[in-house]
Amino acid sequence: MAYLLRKSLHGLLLILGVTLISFVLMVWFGPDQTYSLIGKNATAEQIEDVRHALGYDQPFITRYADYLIELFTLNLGASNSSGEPVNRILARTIPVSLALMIPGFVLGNLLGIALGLLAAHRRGQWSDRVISGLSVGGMSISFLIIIIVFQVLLSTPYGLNLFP
Amino acid sequence: MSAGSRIWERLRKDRTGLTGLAIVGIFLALAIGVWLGFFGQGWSAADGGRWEPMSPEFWFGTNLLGQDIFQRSIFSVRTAFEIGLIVAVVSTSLGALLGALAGWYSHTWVDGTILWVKGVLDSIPFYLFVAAVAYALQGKPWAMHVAMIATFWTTTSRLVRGEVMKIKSREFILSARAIGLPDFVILLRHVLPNTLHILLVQASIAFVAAIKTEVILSFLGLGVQDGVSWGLMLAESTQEVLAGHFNNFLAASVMLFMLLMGFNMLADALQDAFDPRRSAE
Amino acid sequence: MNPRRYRLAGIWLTLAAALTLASCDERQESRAQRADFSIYRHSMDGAPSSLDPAQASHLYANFLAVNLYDTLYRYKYLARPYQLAPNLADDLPRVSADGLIYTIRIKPGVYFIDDPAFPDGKGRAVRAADFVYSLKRQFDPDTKAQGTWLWQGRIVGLDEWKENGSDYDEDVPGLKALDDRTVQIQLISPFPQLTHTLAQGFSAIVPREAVDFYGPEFAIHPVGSGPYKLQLFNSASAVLVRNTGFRKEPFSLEAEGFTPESQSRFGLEPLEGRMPPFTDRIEIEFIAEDAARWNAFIAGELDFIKVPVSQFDQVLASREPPTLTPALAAKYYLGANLESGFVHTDFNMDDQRIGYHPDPDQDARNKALRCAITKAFDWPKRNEIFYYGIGQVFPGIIPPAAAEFQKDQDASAVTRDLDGARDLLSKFGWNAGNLPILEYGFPSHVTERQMFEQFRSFMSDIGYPEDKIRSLTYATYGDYARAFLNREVMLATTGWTMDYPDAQNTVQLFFGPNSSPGSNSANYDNEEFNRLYRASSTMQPSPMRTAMYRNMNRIVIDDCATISGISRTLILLWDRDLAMLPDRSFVGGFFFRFVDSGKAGPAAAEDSGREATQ
Repeated sequence: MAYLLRKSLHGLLLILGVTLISFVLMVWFGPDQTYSLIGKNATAEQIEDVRHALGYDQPFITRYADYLIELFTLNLGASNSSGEPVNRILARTIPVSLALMIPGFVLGNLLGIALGLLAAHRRGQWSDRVISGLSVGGMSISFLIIIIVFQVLLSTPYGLNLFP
Repeated sequence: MSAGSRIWERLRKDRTGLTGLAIVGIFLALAIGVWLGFFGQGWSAADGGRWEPMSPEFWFGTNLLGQDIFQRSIFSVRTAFEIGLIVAVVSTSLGALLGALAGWYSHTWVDGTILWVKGVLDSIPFYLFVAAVAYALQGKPWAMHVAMIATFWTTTSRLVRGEVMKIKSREFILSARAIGLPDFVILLRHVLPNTLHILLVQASIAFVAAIKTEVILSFLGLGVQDGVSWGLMLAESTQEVLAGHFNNFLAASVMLFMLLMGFNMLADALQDAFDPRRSAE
Repeated sequence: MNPRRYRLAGIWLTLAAALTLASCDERQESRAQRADFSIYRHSMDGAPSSLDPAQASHLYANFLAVNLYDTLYRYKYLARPYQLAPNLADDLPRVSADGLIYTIRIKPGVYFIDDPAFPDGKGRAVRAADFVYSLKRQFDPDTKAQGTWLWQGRIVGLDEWKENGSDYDEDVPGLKALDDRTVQIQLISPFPQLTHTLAQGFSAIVPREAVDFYGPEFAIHPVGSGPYKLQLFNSASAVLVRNTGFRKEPFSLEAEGFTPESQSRFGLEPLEGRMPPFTDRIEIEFIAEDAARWNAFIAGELDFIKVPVSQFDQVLASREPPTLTPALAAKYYLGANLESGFVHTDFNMDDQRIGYHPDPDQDARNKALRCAITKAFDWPKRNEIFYYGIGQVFPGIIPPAAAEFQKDQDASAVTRDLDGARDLLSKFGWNAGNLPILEYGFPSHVTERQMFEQFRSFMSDIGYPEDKIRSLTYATYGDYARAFLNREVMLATTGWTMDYPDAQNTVQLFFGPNSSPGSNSANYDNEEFNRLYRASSTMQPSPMRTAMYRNMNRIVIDDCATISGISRTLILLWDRDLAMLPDRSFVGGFFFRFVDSGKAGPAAAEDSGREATQ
């Protein structure tokens, strides 16, 4: 019982830490929407109005508490600009992201494990060396470079021009 | 034979490791050359025409502004080493220190606090965290470094903590305690030096990770702010490749790839050399 | 060895596979649908986040607002220079002799679309009171309105209405519905640009029932009386379908200002007498990424594109006038649309290192420094590198899109003069040692950074040390705006998009009282300029007013308060199957209702390459 209590206290502290850091980084010091929501020639008063509407004039504790309440009640409020509830936006977009991510993730892991087993099985043989060579090479390529290369290959006249 | 020379012996037999060491050495020489002002100094002048091809004057051609791509890519070696070294040294030292503290005072509140901070940091996705820290500190010259150091120390600290817990119960430590040496002296003189093999490997891994992260952050506009880096060159190149100009892209990505490859080979060989079980056969 | 490494290698491979698969599905259906009803597929390089007209501050939102809602006025489809035309109003306003009272009648029999917001779901008639309500919303803090400045301090009682708590049941003396069809506006002092402001998306007419019914979600549930209604809207696309209840008004080439000499090639003549909107369905794709947008266009998935500058090299066969390569000319029409705005780099006059200084000697030295920097700026090169040489460079703050633009003015302010700049520096005792550190701010994107680096290289040509020109970078445009609106940036580059084709809209950028956080981000404050601005602001267009504008232009140039400016030339391409003349300027979204995608263009093939410049 005591063990269970200690474990859950531990988990609670961890969650508190994660929310505190994510709040400080992404909300408190995060993007300030004010200046994308004001129009041309705004007056100081209008800027204050927008800041007030966004809740930026609230003290740290209040905003953090609001953030925690929103998180735990899963009521994420409404988008500042479109007024659409954030929950609905997430429901609309998350399935798409998952559908794009999961096949890559699963396949990548399967392939990685298979190659790893193969290499371990044939320790020291040429296939081990090829696989480990390739993987060291793969690790040395920046993600960014792959993306740029694919962009060129797939969609410009300098590559395959698959989508002319 | 001392431990150091044994490791050197093993490393010397590893052809891949030596190649890696040579590549890193060449890049280091380039970085020092840029530092001392021997080359790469004309990276910002826009003397050429737009997108000039390779020529004796511009070895890798010019970019949109007419800047010399060769000079820019060479100057970026210095940027990469600056970031890599600072992040590797600071994050490894921080990891060593916190890991040693946690290991030495294991199962006390010190250990608990450090583990808690580490757990929190590890629960936040890496790129998200780094980008958020860099964003929150934007405008400050060290924003990017702080962001990376804040996450990179955790792995080192975990490994060092484990090692320290092992060392702690060894005889020479027990005797040092018996003669009444203060804790921090024992930690600095007797414990930490025994974790050096972990620190070296971790530093080389952090170096590689720092350079790769710099590229992504600079691409997002959160990285290098004044100067030039491969990340900035790649960001420029995304617009140029669509118009059929590849020099900027090739120069930055080939240099980046070679340096990372060299470091990865070296790091791999170091791990093998330090860990006899890995190369038992 | 490390198993993680193998996993990584695998991820590379699969990522590659996933990318390939992901990019080739979708979008095959729209071609097929074309047979049943007419579709026009528009593309934009950015997306609106709100469809509430009160927040239609940028082009993307404005395009949608003026199609989903009605405005009292609009701009004629084809007339260049741009001219106002009645939209929901039945005629241009009746203005009292003193220019203070505007009386506007709205057309009878105009209905909002059917919507659950109305009792029994039937759209009701649009009344004058709806206009009054919509304009009041701009002064209600809860609306987060972005167009308030257009009417601030202009209409009797409206500002007080806001101070009293924005109670919609309270009347505003200067903004009244005399009856269901008559609006009367009473101004505090003459405001000759008022009619132009009533052609903005900001002034579009919304029904109170819908605002109350949907609350904050009104921003994505538009209920208007415009030519189209919304079928779908998200961050990637919007679909508009014809509002079948839209008022029936036959299209007239003459009334729209048709110019046969330059516009006859676009196949617009057969539209005469037909009822807009001509197209049943408008699909708008929001694609911010240049390459993706261009690829979608070339693949035939879009009917219209604003060509990214990076493609100009491959698209244009000649620059003056811009013409298409023969292969593209066989498929597309080209329109060269001069932007209705300009880009300029302002000195922060509030900063004593570069701007005004209490000590007259230092003030003169600062001015000399600003003028030297302006002289060292190489406009032709800036134009060549970043605008493919087809932007239009002009001196001062009255851009070519303004009616008061002067073609043959003295261009020395935008002509590079390195010797003059160096002389000026040495005459006022500036040298590499004592030049101040220049802080040049920009949002941290590739193009902005390259502009900064180019600026630095221009300055190094007059001996300004490179390490004295520093960057102040910001992760987003919002952060950048916060910095320069708080006067923290020494040199800030901004673009201004004009709201209406009257230079008043750009000279106000340098009017003292409009200083930051207003749009005078140079914080320029010149007594003579302010006097001229005040005097001209109540005047109807006249040669005298034009002379005053030009005088103000001169004053800003002589004070070297800004490095200005350039108007970009936008290259628009659209499918030859379409009869239309797209616009990204003052007509903007109003052209959607006149797009005809149901016919083939006349003699489409032989007319190679050469196109009109609008």
